[in-house]
Order: sequence, then C-alpha cells, then structure tokens
Amino acid sequence: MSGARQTLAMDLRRLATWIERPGRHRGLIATGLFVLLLAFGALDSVTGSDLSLGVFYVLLVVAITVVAGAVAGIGAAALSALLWGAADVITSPSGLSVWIDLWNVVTRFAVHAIVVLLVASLLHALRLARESEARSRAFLATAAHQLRTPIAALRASAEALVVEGATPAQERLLANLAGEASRLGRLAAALLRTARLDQGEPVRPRPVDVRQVVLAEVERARQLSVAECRLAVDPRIPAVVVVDPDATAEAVSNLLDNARRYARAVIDVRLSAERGWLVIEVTDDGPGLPAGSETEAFQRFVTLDGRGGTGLGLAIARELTQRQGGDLGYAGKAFVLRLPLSEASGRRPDHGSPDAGRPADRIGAGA
Amino acid sequence: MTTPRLLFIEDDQSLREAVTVTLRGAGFEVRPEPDGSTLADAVAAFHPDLALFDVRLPRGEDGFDLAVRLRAMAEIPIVFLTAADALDDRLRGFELGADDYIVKPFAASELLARVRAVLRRSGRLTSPTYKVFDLLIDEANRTARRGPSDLQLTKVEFDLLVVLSREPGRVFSKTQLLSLVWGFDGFDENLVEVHISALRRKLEAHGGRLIHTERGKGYVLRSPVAA
Repeated sequence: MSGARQTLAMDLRRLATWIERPGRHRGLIATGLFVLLLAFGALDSVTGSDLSLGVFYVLLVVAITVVAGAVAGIGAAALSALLWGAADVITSPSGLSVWIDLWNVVTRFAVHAIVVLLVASLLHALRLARESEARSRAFLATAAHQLRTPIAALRASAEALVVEGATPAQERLLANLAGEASRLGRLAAALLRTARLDQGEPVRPRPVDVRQVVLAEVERARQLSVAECRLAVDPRIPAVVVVDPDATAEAVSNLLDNARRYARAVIDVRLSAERGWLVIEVTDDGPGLPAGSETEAFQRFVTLDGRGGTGLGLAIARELTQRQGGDLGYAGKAFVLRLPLSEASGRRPDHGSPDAGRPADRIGAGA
Repeated sequence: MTTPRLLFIEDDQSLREAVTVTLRGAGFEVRPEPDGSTLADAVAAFHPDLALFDVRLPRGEDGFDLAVRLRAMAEIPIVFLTAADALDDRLRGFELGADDYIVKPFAASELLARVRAVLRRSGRLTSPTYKVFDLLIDEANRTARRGPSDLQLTKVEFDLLVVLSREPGRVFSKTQLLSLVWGFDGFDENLVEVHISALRRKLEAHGGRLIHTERGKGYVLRSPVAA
C-alpha cells in the first residue's frame, strides 16, 4: 500500500478523533454544521418578497439549531463517521473489503445523515415550490399584459368596421365581435389584477370622502344600465375616512357590474356606518345567488351562468376588501361590503390620485 | 374649422391600422408611424396638433423617450397608449409631460373623447360650439340649447346628441350608437332605446321631432321641417 494513502488515511482518522472529542468542540461543530446547512437552504427561501415565509424559516433554523445543540452528538458523530469510513476505504487492500467498508460507513453515518438530509430536502422542496409559484405569478402577469395589445387591435378593428357601415347581418356579427373583444379585455384586466393581488400588491389607504367614491361608481353604473340605480347615504358617515379609494371603487364597481347583469329594474346601493364599520350594500331585484352557492360564487373563475362575466369579479372584490381589513359577504339577497371605519377628522380628503374619475382605466373586472 | 392633425406612433400593425381608420373616420388627419425614427421629419413636414404614442416601442426606444425628444421640438400635447396600468407607470407618464393616458384595450369612443378633450384643453380644437338646425351645441362646456332653453342633458344624452348631430342625415344603427357612445361596455341595445327616448322627450319639450326612427335601420337627426 502506498505511503501517501496511509498518510492521508491517518490524517483523516486523526481529524475524526479530534471531532469526536467530548467537550465544547463537539457542540460547536455540530451546531455549526447544522446552522450552515439549514441557513443555506433558508436563505434561498428568505430572499423573496414574502416576509412571513422568511420569518418562518428563520424561526425554523433557530429551533433546529437549539435542538441540534442540545443533542450535540449528531453532527459531530456524523462527520467523524464519514471521515473514519473514508480512511477505511482508502486503506482497504482489495475490492470486496472496499464495499464492506463503504457499507460500514453508510450504516454508521445513516441515522445521522437521514436527519440532516430530511431537513435539507424539506427546505429545498419548499424553496422550489416558492420559486415555481413566483414564476407562475410572474408568467400570469406577463401573459395578461401581453394580451392587451392584440385585444386592443381586435376591438379597435371591430369597432372601426361597425362605424364604417355594414349590412344588418354583418353588423350583428361585428357587434358580437366587438362585444367579445371587450369582454376579452375585461378578462385580461381581471387576470392581471388577480396576479398583482397574489404578488402582494399593497393597498394604499388615505383620507378620502368615501361617499364621493361610491357616488362616482353609481353614476357610472347609471350610464351603462337600463335599470334604475339608487343610492342611499347614511348622514352619519363622516366626510373623511381612511380607505384605499381605488381598491374600494374597484370592489364596488365589480358588485355593480354583477348587479347590472342580473337586475330587472332596480339596483339599490346603501352606504352606512355601524359600530366601527363602514358598510356598503348592493342589492338588485334580480334572482339573486342560487341557494347554496353563496360560498362558491366568491371563488375564482366561478360563473354561475353564461352571461358574459369573467368569474373573477366577486373574488377580486373580496380580496380587495380583505386587504383593507374588511370583508365581503352575501346576506339576504344583498352583497355586503364592510370596511373598518377609521375616521380622519381634521384631515382634508386627498384628491391627489390622477386616476380619479377615469372609467376606462378600470375596465370592470366583474363585467 | 381646420382639421386637427394627429401624429400616431404604434408598432403593432393591426392596432395602428384600426386606430388610424377610427381617427380618420372621426374627421382627423392622421400620420401613422411604426416607430420614432421619423419623428423629426414628421414634426417638420406634418405639423401635428397632437401626438399619440404607444409607450412600448421596438428597438429600445420607448414612448417616454420619444416624448422627451418631441418636447424639445414642439410644444404639442401628448397622449400615451399603454398596456401598463400600474400606478407608477402612469405617474411617470404625467411627470414626463403627458397630457393624458389611455389603457389598452380601449373603446374607440374613449379614445376619441380623450383626444378631443386634450385638443380642446390646449386650444387646438377650434369652434367647439356649433349650430345644427335650431340646436346650439357647446362641446367644450357640454351644454346643448334648443332655442333659448338649456336642455339639461345627462352625460350619455349629450354624447348621443353629439354623435347624431355631427352627421345630420346619417342613419346610425343601434349597434353603431352602442359603439360610439358606450364603446360596447354596455350590455344590450335596450340601452340605446332607453336613452334615445329620454333624449327625445327633452328635445321635443322645446320643438318638433328632430331624432327620427328609420324602421329596421336606426336613428337619424333630421330637420324638424317635414322631410
């Protein structure tokens, strides 16, 4: 057997013995190994925008470190077993005994290795899942974005043809074309909205006159609807409250788009305040949600009949409300939107948003 | 009234062609371009009254860069077309001196309304008040009078009247009105009937019938003197 191999094997054994030596060293090395391994996995996952997941990982690493430190033998024994086995393999004279020695290494290392591998692979799997989720969110957002130009071209072409003039039969088809292109546009906008909400787009609450926000949406519904749209505002509502006006307007808009689709003659919107909550109720005199479908209706891509909705309107409206600390539900034939009522007395309403009063910018995801 | 001239830069061919047809159909003179390479020439030779840019253009130059270059050449209003509706993009557009911002996909009626509004604000749309029969229509202030009386029209009724009055004698089908006034954001043709009735009631309170129905065809604005 060569001297070099002997020397190497001896060095390995010496290192293994040093690691096994009882005392602070063992604890240190064990803890160090674990922290390194797990922190590596956790860091990958922590570098992302999802703060709560990052906090979870940090806590996981801390917990395992403590346990590993308490059971300090694990890391040190595993490492030393590996080194002993390696030394044995290097000094083995013949084929079969190499395999026996390898088997010894594996069995001595196994229990320790399993613990480390399990945790490491768990973290790796979590990291992969997060990456995959982030990729599909990014994809959804990009896809929805990319759809908009071709949809715009379709819609513009159909509308230009309608105005140019056509036979009644052609006009019917062109109207359908333009209507469907418009609906496609709303769907793309709704998808983009959903993707942004999933990516954790923040809400921006500021002091606004929420009565104006709701009135603007009711006015818009009046222009687009043959039904009568009535608005009742409780005089106790403060002039200025702190909400996200864009999110609130969009949620109300989605509820009104639904109401327009089903109303026979009347849509009622009621704005009131009760016990610290701002309440916006939207009712129509149509058939209402079928019994038993109240929960389902708020899920994504659920349309309860084929009337040209996106299936996303209610889901988006609920998300937008929940992001502001409120909720959206259905009770007694009315959609009830609640937002935490936080007065901003003494502050003047913020008219700063450049997109105030621009109906085209919110294509109406519920429509 | 001089015809307003629009410089329109859009790289998507279908969209560029369709919007050009729409704008020309609405009475504008349009110079469509696929990118900003001819900007200097377009400004010098065409003398546009307004520039309409897509924000995302090919070969690295984007609408915002173009806007900066254009500002150095001429003081004309700029409207951006974009698929992006993130608030930051819009704010950036306004910071760069955009006069308005339209999100794709858009209704043709929305595009036309905004372009006209921007032209009006910058004083480049002349004679916003015009007379049609005994109607006096002021597009800038959105009022319509018949004789001495203000008709007190809602937003939709006013838009409807304007569409019909721009081409008196032309029959507009319900579908065409749905496109021109509501941009197909409304759901059904009843919308047209309901608002035409309301508009008629207000008009006929002050004189003879102006909006006639052509059975099976649509609505038309004609002189109250029997045709």
